[in-house]
Amino acid sequence: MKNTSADEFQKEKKVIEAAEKLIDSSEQISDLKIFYRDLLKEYKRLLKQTKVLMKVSDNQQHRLKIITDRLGKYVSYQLFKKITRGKEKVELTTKRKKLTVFFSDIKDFSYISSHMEGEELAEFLNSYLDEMTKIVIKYGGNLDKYWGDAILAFFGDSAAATDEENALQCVSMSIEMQKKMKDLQKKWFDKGYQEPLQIRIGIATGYCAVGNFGSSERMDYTIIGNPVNFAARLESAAEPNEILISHETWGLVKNKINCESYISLSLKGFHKEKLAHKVLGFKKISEKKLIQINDPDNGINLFIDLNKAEKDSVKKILSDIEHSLTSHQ
Amino acid sequence: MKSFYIDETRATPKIDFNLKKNELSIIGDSYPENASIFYREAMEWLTEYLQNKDRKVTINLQLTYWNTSSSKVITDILEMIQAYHDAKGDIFLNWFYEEDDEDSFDNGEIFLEEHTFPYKLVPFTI
Repeated sequence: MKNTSADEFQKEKKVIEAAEKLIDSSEQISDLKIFYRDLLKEYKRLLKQTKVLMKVSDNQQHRLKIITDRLGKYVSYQLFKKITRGKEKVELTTKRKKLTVFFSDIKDFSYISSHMEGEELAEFLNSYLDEMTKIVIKYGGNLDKYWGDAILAFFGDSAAATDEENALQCVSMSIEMQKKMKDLQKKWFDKGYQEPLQIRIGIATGYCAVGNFGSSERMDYTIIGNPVNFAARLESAAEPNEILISHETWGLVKNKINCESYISLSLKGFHKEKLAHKVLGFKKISEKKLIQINDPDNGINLFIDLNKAEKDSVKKILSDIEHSLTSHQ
Repeated sequence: MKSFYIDETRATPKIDFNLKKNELSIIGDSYPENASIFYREAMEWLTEYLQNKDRKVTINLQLTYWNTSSSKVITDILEMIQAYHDAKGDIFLNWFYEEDDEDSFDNGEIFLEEHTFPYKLVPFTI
């Protein structure tokens, strides 16, 4: 990086030039002239030093930015923002927050990787993680860590979104990941990989400790808690290309996401059976299922969304209306 | 006059002014809280040492990271080297920069661009 700060010192240069002219032309008292000459010499020295310091400072800042950008690749985007904006204290503290936790891995990855050369495996794994990471960032997820082919991410660290929004973002992200996997499966098949590469996803919502864990010398911003284990166990229980969500997550997304009815699972590390739902996809909002009668002149304003309204509730309202009309005749 | 030596710490460099070899080295990071206090003794030693213009002096500056007040000390040292050279003293500076690091190389050029004493930019790896 080159610094061209010469023009920034034009004013100082003019002062020096004027002083030099004065010394050459005037007939001042000799002591004053000596003093003035020393002053000028010192001023020139300071100007030279200032120029160097400014350029070096700019260069150091440029260097610092490059280093910061490099470090940013090793932590999640959210954590990077927290650290660089100086809001996150670098100390061993944690907070308790309700999070929606995401866990995924590639089915039979150990077996697949044992049949690959190191370079080939690195290219394959990096291309997979690169695509998945882009999707995590797109949905505002906090990418906690990679464990080989496994990904741990979570939603809910910031106070800006509700629990429903966090859960929906997480499930929406997972659906997009599954779609992206279809593209990747084709790409890898065309490259000559015989095994179909499929991912399994587990999602759970609940309270976790989030913050800095480790030692004062080396710490890790991560999450610990029951939902992390639960998401990991759901991932293990999921079939290939399947997303399994906990019953609590389902409760937060059921109006927007179609799921199968619950299944009861015996999971390692959990004493009681846990309920889970298989994600089918986004609910489609059908315009045909909206009933709207807006006739204010005749005192009628009716709106029913059959995408959301329970049939029995609608029937009861209609019955009440009929009863009301009959009783007023 | 004796040789001058200070060990490296996390925030300050090793200062090794070897009187017998006439080789003066500053190596490491330099971000003390107050650079003028940290370098005071070394600068006093250097001022006295450079009074004798009959020496053949080699100076090695290998700084990896420094704060602005340390930059000021570096410019002071370079001015002392320049003054020694202007007084017909035999002095040579090795300025070490991190290999394959353009910014580190540029820093060397910025510090030295207005000086006329002999020097060399030498790459090193951490």
